[in-house]
Amino acid sequence: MELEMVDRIVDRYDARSSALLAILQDIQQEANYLPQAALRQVARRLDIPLTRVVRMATFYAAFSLKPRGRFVCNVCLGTACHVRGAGRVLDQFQRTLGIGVGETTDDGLFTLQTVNCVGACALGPVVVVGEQYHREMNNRKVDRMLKSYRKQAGE
Amino acid sequence: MAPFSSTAELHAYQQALVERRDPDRTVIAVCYGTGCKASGATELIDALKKAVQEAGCSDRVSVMPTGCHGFCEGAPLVVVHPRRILYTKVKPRHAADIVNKTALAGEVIEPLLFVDPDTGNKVVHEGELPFYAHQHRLLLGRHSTTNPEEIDDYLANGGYGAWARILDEQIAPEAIIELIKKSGLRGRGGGGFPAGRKWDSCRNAPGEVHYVICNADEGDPGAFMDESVLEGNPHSVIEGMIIGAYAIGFPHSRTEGYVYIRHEYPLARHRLAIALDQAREKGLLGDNILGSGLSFDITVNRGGGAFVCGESTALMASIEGFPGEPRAKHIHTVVSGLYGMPTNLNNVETWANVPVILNMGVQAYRAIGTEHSKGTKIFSLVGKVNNTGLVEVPMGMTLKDIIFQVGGGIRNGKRFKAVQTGGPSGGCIPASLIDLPVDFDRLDEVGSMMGSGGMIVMDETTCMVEVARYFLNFLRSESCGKCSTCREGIARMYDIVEGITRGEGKPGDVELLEELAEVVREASLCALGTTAPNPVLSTIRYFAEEYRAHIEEKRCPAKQCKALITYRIIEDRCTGCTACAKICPTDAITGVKDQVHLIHQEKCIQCGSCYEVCPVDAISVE
Amino acid sequence: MLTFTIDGQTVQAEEGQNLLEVALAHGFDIPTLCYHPSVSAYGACRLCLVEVTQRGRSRITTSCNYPALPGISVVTRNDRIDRLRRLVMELILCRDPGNPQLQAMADRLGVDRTRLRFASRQDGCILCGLCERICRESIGADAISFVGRGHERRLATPFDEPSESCVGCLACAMVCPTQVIEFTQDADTRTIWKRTFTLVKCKECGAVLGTPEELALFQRKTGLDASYFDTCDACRKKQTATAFAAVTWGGQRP
Ligand SMILES: Cc1cc2nc3c(=O)[nH]c(=O)nc-3n(C[C@H](O)[C@H](O)[C@H](O)COP(=O)(O)O)c2cc1C
Ligand code: FES
Ligand code: FES
Repeated sequence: MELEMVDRIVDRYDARSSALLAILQDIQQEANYLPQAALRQVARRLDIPLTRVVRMATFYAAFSLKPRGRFVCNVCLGTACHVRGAGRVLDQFQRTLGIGVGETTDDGLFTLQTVNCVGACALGPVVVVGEQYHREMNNRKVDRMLKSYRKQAGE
Repeated sequence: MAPFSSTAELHAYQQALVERRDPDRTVIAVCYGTGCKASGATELIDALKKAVQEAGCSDRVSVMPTGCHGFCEGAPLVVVHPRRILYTKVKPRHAADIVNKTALAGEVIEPLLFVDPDTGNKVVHEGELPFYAHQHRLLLGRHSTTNPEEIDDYLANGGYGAWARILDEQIAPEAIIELIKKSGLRGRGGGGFPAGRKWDSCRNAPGEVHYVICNADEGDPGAFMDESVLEGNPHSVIEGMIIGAYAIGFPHSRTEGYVYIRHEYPLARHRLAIALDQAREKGLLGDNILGSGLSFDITVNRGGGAFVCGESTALMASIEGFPGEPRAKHIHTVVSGLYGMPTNLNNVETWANVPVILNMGVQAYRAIGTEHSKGTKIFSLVGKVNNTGLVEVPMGMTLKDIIFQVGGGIRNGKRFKAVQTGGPSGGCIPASLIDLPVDFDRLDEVGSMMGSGGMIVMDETTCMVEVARYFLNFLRSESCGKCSTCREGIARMYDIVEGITRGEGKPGDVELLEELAEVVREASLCALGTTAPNPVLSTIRYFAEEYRAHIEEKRCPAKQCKALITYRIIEDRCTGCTACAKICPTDAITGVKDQVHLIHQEKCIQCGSCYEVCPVDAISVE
Repeated sequence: MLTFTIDGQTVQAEEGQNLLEVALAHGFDIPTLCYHPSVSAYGACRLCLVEVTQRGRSRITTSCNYPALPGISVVTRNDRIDRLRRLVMELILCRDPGNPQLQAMADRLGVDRTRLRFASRQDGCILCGLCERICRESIGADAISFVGRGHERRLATPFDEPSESCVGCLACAMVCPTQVIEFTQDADTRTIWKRTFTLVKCKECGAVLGTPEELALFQRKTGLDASYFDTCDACRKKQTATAFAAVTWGGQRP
C-alpha cells in the first residue's frame, strides 16, 4: 500500500475532514478497495478519530474493505430490474461463480456485488461490470458473459 | 473568451450564436443517456463519426450526442435533424447508410423505423411517435436537440434568459419568491412541499451564509428522472439554482451551492462537471455574476450508495463528511441545516422547473395540471409496460392514459395488475383504480405517494407479497439503523413477509404486520421509517386475497414464490431438444435427445432457466 | 425561563432543555433506554414517547430530543402511548429476550414476551449508543463506534481489533443499560475490548487507581500535576489533612 497515494488524495482536498467521503471514494478508485492502512493514514492526516473513518467506510455501501476481483459484477436489484427477474439473474451469478454477494472468486477474477439502480431501468435486468452495461440479462446471458470475461482475462 | 460581465454581453453573444446557426444544417443526434449508452450508443457514435469522415461531409453533417430522449424502449435512438427522422435500435453497421442515404440524400431507411404495434404503421418523424404525442415535455423537450456538453446549445436556445431577465428588469428577490409561490410549484423530490414557501422561510432565517442545495441522490431504485435531466440539460438545473440563490440569499447574505449526486450516475456527474466549468468560464457562476452583485458557485458532492442520504438532514450530514444519519427535525433545515446555517434543499426537477416557469410566465404554467398540483411531472415508466422510458405529462393525467396511451399497454399481452409509485415509501395501486388522476394529493389518498416519479408497472405474473418482501428487504438494509422502530421494526416485518413467501405464513401474520406498521410509522425518527410500511400496507389493502392464498393455501397465484411453485414438462409439447437439460444447473432434467424430458423435483431449485430456454413453451409453472 | 404543561401540571424550564429532562426533574415517570444526562440525547430507543400538542396540533414524539417550548402541552401517558411503547419494547426485546435488564423494562411496561422472531445476533446490545457517546463526548477517547448500517449495524472497535485509543476507563461498561459490555479485572490487570491494561495503584495504600492511559488522559484534560494521580482519594485526603495540621498546629493535634 502506498501511503503517498493517500497523501496525494488527502492533499487534493486540502486535508478537510468534510471531504472524508470523497477522499475514501478516490482511494477506493485507485486501490480497488479500502485497505486498513489507508484508513489509518486518512485518520492521521485529517486529524480525526479512526472510529469516524471506519464508521464512514462501513456505512456507505459503495465501499469495500476487502480486496475485489478484476471484474466487479454489479447486479442491479432496483425495483424495475427486480420485477423483470433480477433475483434469478443474481442466483445464476452465485451458482455459476460459486460465491455469495460481496465475495470474490478464488482466482481473483470476479467479485459479485449488488446495486440499487444504475439508471438504465428501461433495460432491466441490468448488470454493470466495470464501465460496461449489460442489458436485459437472463441466466443464459450471464453464463455467456462470464465466459467472455474469462476469455478476456486469459488473453 | 472573457467571462460576461453584464447581461448586455450575454445577449450579444446569444444573438451572435443564433445568427451563426444554420437551422437547416443536418445533425445526426444520437441519444447518449445511460440507457442508450448501455445499448451500444458509444460504438454507434464512433461509427457515425467515421462514416461522416469517410463521406467527406463533415462541413455539412455533424454527429451530436445528446441526453436521454425518453424512449428507452427503442435504444439506441437516432434523430436526424432538421427533418427529425427517428430511427430506433440502431447498430453501428447502420452508420454508413444513415450518413449516405438519410443525411446526404434525404432518404428514409425503412427497416430502422419504429413500427407502431397498435396500427402497424411505420413512424417516420420523432413527433409522430405515439409515445411522445401524449406528453407535455416542458423540461425534456429539448433533449434531442441539445448537446448537454455544449453551453452554447443551451445559450442559443435562450438559456440563462430567465436569470438575465431578472437582472434586466430588476426583479427583486422577494418578487421572485412571490412568483414561485404563485406558480404553485411543489417539490418534485417526494413530499410535494410548496417551493416558494420553503424559499421564503429560508430567506427569512438569519445566518451569515445561506446554502442552496440540489438533491440529485435519486434514491428510488427503478427511477431515473433526475439522472436524465442532469445528463440531458444540466444548465437548466444550474440556472434554477442561481435564481434560487438570488431569491433566498441576496443581498443580505452570502450564498453557496451544492449538488449531492448519486454515485451510481457517473455520466450525469461528468456532464454536470462540464456544465459547471463552462458556466464558470462564461461568468455565469463565480463572483459578481453578470455584474449583479450576486456571488455564487456550486460544489458537487458524490453520494456513497445510501438511500437514506436523500433525506434532508442525512444529506447534509453526508456533505459535512459524516455518515448519513438523520436527526430529529424539530428545528427545520431552512433555519439550521448545513453547518447549522439556513439551507434550502430542492430536488433536481424542482430546480429545472424554475427557469421554465419564469420563461413561460406564471399564468401559462398554472394552466397546466390540477388545482393543487401545477405543471408537469416526469415519470420513469418501467417494468412490464411496452414503452419503457421517461415520460413527462401534465399533472392530473390518469394512470390509464400514462400506462396505456403513452406507455403502449402491457408487454406480451399480459393483464395489468398494479402500478407502484413513490418508490420504497410509496405503495401499489391496483388495476381497479386505473382511472385515478395522478397528482400529489390523489396518490396520497389511495395509500401511495408521488415520490420522485418512479412508476413500476406490474402484470399478472408479479406477486404482490413478493413485492412487499422486496421493499422491506431494501429498507432493512437502507435504514441507517439508528432508531429501534425503523431498524428492528422493518427487519421483523421482513421476517414475517419473507416467511409468507416461503409458505411459512401463519394465521394472524397480517394482523401482526399491521400492528408493527403502526409503531414503525408513528414512532420512527425520520421519514424513511415513517413511510416504510406503505408498500406492505398498500398490498395488504388491495391484494388481501394474495396474502390469504400464500398463508392458508400455500399457493402463489402469480407463480413467483419459489418455495410455492413446481416446474413440469408438458409431455405433448416437448420435442426433446435437450436445451433444458443442458442449462439446468443441478442436473435435475434428464431425457434422451428427441424424446420427452423429465424434471426430477427433488433436485429442482426453481431457478427458471429451463422455462427461459425452452423454444416450444413446453415447461409449465404451477 | 419558559412555561408549559406536563399531564396538566404547569412546569417551568430553561431554554435549551429537552422535554424528558424537565419531566424527570418534576417527578414524571418516562421509560428510557438510550438516555443519560451526562451525554447528548440521541433518540434511538424510542421508548420515551410522549404526545405533544402545539398550536392545536398533536403528535407523538420522543421526549429526549424534543425541545421544551413555551405554551405546549405534553401528555406522558395515555392508551395510545402505552400501546406504542409496548410495541417498541417488543421490538427491542427481540434483540435479546433473555437479558435481565430488558426483561425488567418489559415487565415495567406490561410486556410479557415478544411475538416476533428474535434478531440473528442476540448479544444484548440494543444499539442505544450510550457507550459510544460517553466514550466520545465525556471521555474523549473515541475508542468505539457503530459500524455498518440498517439491520446489520453493530458496535465495535475499529476493525474489531483491540482499540488503540481506548484508555480502559470502563465508562462504556458502566453506562450500558443492558450491562453487556464485558470486562475483566484481577489484581494487576484489566481487560476490555480485547485490550489488556496494567493497573496503577495508590502509592500509599495500594488501592487500584486506574490504567496509566486513563490517568494520563485525565491529567491532560484537567491540567493537574502528575503527582496528583499518585495516590487514591482517601489517602490524598489523609495527606492533605496531615499537611494542613502541620502548618496550622505545628504538627500538634489539639
Ligand atoms: C428516506 C428518504 C429518501 C429521500 N430521497 C430523496 C431523493 O433521492 N431525492 C430527492 O429529491 N428527495 C428525496 N427525499 C426527499 C427529501 O428529503 C426532500 O424532501 C427533498 O429533496 C426536498 O426537495 P423538494 O421540495 O424539491 O422535493 C427523500 C426523503 C426521505 C425520507
Ligand atoms: S432498476 Fe435496475 S437500472 Fe434502475
Ligand atoms: S430515551 Fe428518547 S429515544 Fe431513547
